[in-house]
Amino acid sequence: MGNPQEFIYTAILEGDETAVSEQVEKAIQLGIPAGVILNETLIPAMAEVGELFEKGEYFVPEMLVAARAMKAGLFILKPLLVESKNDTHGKIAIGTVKGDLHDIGKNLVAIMLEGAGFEVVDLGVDVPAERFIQVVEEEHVDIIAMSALLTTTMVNIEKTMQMIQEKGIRDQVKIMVGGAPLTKEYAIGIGADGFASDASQAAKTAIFLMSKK
Amino acid sequence: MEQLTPRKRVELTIHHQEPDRVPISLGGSANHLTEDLYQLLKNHFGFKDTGRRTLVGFYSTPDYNPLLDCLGTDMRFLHLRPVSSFIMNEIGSHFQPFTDEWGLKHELLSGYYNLGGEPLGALETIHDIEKYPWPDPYLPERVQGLKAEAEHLFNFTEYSLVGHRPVYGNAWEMSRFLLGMEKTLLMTAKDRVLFEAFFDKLSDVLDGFYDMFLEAVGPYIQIIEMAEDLGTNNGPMFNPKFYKEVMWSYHRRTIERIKKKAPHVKVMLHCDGAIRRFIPDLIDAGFDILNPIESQLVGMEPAGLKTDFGKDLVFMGGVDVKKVLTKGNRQDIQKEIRTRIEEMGKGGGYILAPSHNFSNDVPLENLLAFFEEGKNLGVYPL
Repeated sequence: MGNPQEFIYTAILEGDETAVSEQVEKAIQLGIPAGVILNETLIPAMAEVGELFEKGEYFVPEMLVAARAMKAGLFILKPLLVESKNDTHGKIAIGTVKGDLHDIGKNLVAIMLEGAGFEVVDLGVDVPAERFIQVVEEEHVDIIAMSALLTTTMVNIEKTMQMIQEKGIRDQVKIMVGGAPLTKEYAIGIGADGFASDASQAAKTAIFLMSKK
Repeated sequence: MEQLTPRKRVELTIHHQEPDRVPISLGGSANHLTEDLYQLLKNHFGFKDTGRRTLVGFYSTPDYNPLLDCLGTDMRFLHLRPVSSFIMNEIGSHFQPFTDEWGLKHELLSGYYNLGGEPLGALETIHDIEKYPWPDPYLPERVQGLKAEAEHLFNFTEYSLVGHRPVYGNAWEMSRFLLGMEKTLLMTAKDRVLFEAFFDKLSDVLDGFYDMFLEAVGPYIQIIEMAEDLGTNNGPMFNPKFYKEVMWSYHRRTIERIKKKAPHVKVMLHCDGAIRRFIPDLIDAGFDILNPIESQLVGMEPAGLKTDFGKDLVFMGGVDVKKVLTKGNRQDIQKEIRTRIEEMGKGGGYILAPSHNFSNDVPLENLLAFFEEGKNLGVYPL
């Protein structure tokens, strides 16, 4: 018999929610610390899901079921992680900018960020600049992740960045951007710290940005 | 070559032969204007609005025909009529939200038309599929006056006639609306039996819409549209194997039915995204024309598509709307059009159109340049 951590890893890749829950319980009973289960199994499993996605072997549905399975495990671990004061990898506020209601891509990014061990504050869609500023000031998020699907709304990414700058809080937060009409050149041009073209890349970008903080 | 009629021009093009020049389209799927751009063009040309609105997918636009006459495009579109409960909202004016015959909510949120409600979001069993109040595709009001309109355009104009998609979208698109995106995607991975039962029923209903539409317009049109978005910016939205194993047979079924009713009609698929991996199976399912060719995406480079699939597929679209038409000048637009025509126009098989709908940030002069230059630069021999 393999150990529960191996089972958890495989069950996440296969998107088997029930098996993940069972095996996480089992691992806890065996005395494996919650932080270890998270950092050595759940997060690496989701990282592999991201790799498979980038290679074109996994697609959005496989990523979604894997994320659901991972969340089932995380749900059991969360109270224990709080108890043992396990730090997350960082706190990220994510949202689709003002005027834009598209959230499929944004939701996938949120899923992969959680899968990478971040605490994610999902601000939803049509998020005004003021709301992004508020989470920086009040919730002290490490990273803001903004998305836009339309050429007509991507200007609001720029506007939000300007307002953050004007508020004098730009140095408190890293900003990453993404969405269909955006390019890396655009992201650099507007002074964003990071850009990602898909959900898996977004998780990697966030990890990179945290290492620079 | 002497100048051909638009109908003959399109006829040769869709049969992979070179006409006098590359046809140009406005008014089809992914080939629309925003309400603001329409007004801008209306003021520019000073034509009289017919006051009629047409149903294009799930929203409505003004009747484009007077505008298309001014722009000199080759195709005119025929539209299934909305049922009486459908509100043909003018997007610029006071918007009335409503729930349609599918149970879908039409709303205007932050200026964008939104189709929500996910009326089958709680679907759990085959029984839920059966008890859902599906729309009746065969309501006579859907085709009121349509045959006469098609007949008139056929007999008294020389335009190429196209059947605009008579449904909001085909089965995958409709699944996303009715079940919600996440549930649809999850079902493909976790509950294929239920998904297939749902897809089967939905396809039956949608095929009914095509039956009704073709009864009225079949003899007069050259092209009919279908619409599914199977791709993301980076690749397929789901495993292409799933397309072949499940969805392919439904598309094939619909196309066979269309061709049985109207054997001369070519079937166009509107499908956004980086969808190269689906293309061999799409050809196999019977699609003849692919739109909108998001040429800047991975695998969607027009030259490669033409080399690999140009024998089987006609391409419609490809002129970059994200950068060139929005931010470029006339020279940039000329260059883009010339490139696309050189890449996809050889031997016919190319209809000039943007890589997606014209958005509000396309300036008037660029819009006009697109149509003017399209006609100048598309003359055969290339």
